[in-house]
Amino acid sequence: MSGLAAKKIAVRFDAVDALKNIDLEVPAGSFVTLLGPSGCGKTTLLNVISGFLKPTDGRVYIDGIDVTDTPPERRDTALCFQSYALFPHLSVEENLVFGLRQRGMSGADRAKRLRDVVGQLDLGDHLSKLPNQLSGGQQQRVSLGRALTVRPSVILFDEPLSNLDAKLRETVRHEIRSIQQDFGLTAVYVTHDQNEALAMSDKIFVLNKGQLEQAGTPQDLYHAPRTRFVADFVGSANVMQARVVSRAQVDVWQVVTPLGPLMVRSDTPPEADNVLIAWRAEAVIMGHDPVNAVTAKVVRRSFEGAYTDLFFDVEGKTFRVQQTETNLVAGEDMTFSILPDNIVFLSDSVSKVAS
Amino acid sequence: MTRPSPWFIAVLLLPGIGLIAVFIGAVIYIAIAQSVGFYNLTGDSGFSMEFWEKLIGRKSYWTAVRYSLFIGFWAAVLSVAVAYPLALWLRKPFKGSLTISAILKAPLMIHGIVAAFLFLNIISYNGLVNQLLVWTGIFDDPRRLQNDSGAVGLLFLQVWKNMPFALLLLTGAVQSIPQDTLNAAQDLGAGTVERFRRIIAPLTVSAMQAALIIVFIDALADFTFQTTVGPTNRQSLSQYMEFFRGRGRWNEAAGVGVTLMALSLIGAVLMALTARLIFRERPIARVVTWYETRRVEAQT
Repeated sequence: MSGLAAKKIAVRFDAVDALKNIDLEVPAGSFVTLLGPSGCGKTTLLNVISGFLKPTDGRVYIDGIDVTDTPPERRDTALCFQSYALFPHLSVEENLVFGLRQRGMSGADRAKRLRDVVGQLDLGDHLSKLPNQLSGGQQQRVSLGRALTVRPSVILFDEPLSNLDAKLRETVRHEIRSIQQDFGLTAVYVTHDQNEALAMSDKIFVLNKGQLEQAGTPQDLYHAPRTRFVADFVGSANVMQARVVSRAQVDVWQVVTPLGPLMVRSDTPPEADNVLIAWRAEAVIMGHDPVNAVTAKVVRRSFEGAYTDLFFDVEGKTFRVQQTETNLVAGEDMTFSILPDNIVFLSDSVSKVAS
Repeated sequence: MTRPSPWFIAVLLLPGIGLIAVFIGAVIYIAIAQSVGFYNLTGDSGFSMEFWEKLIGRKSYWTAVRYSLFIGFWAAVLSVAVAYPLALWLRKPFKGSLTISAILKAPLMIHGIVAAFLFLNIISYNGLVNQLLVWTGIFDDPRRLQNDSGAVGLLFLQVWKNMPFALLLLTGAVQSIPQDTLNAAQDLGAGTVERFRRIIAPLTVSAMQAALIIVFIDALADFTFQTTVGPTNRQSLSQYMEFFRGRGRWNEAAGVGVTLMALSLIGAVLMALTARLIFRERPIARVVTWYETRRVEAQT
């Protein structure tokens, strides 16, 4: 296939499995994110793709060609580093054309390619500067430009925004996405920031402890997490135990939960009688509704700007409801309803989900 | 906290730097003065260029200058050339790397004369090297390897003794290069040689310069190795100086001493500048890049 594919990738460091049986497909021109907490293996997988780490098992293909044994300098990828990794002794211009020089491109072609990227990234005023004379955002752009000038088959991003402040991060995030689309690049982006992943990606691969937890579009992962980890990591859902008591309709199950009896609409049946279910804090309707109504006392209120978090405790566990406008304060009762469509069954078996 | 006055700082530094300046200054002054006729131990003192004229007029003087420069230059270049790959190899710790590093630095602790005699034993007519070469069939019979006229043995010893110093300087410099920087270069297509040429050497050029300067000065002025394992048909400047001193010709000896000091200074500066120009400034490459960029700009 055109694009990137990693098949059955495993990486073992002594007795530790850093990656277990990972399958990854990135169609040409798409933007895929590897999402997970620190130590989940996402950077390890990126290093396997870029060639800096040879997998213990599995193969990597770029545009259908097996590149597993190809060293990084001969692999048609370009990596944007978390630390930017700009060459401190070279000017911005020399940094930008470094890859082109290595590829033996003529001076005239180099200059044309440079002009394109400089125009795109608005770096014209900084060409003669050294990296330490640039701000963090500008350094990030040079790093991105250096990767873009070589027009790689696959561009890789290793948490490129983590050193930027929140405001700049949002701006650069959009720039990266827009450039990726303009150039039609195949991109693999590593982050632990779920907001970044949700905002930028065509598809997200969630990794945990070296395993693939779930892969899907941002909407799939957010609205239909399949494991407790994904539900919790992507958007922090309310997760609770449930006992399935009956099947009310073809796709509707009645369950008993700490919040009381609830109806769950799901295309896939629960794995067992005792399962985990999840629902999003904002996916509730305030007020009494005949289906899935819950009444609870607000124990804490937290104003977050665009919305307000309302916390309540049931059986020693804290749950959260999110409302854009509310006058409720701690100590008051609230009644809300969770629509059956907004509750999902979770699987506890990672391998089952990944397969 | 208020910043102390520069005078106060100078007074505090005086016992250290001051003493060094006085001692070095005194030596330089005496050497220069003696070379132009002052402080004459065996005759009248007074300004005279006679000793310099005699010195410059001798063919043996220029031979010694050329030979010492040859030894100083190659000892410095080879020591740095051997130290670089070792520094890169030891850059990331691995099992046994500390031991290897310690062993490599051991020559620093061994006195030159001891090392020279050990080396003489090994390459002697019935030494280990001859035995090995005969045993492998490379030599039919043992050969004389001591005091070879090409100064190969001497250079070997110089590198053996000075390389650890270069290694010490370069290891620190190489370790300070972030792995991401090297990975970025490799990711953009730079192979081993290009990574060294374009990234490692420029970023460690200060350590390289320091190593080149120190090894050059040390080897240029070498006396011990030259008199023990050096070629018998050539004299180094220090040998030449000792030749005059042994005959009580102090003024000419001082002239050779001044020559050594001047060559040390000029040679060290030239080597340091050359290293910087080659690996850091790359003036030709910069001009070419500038020209090409402007040409394309003009075309469009």
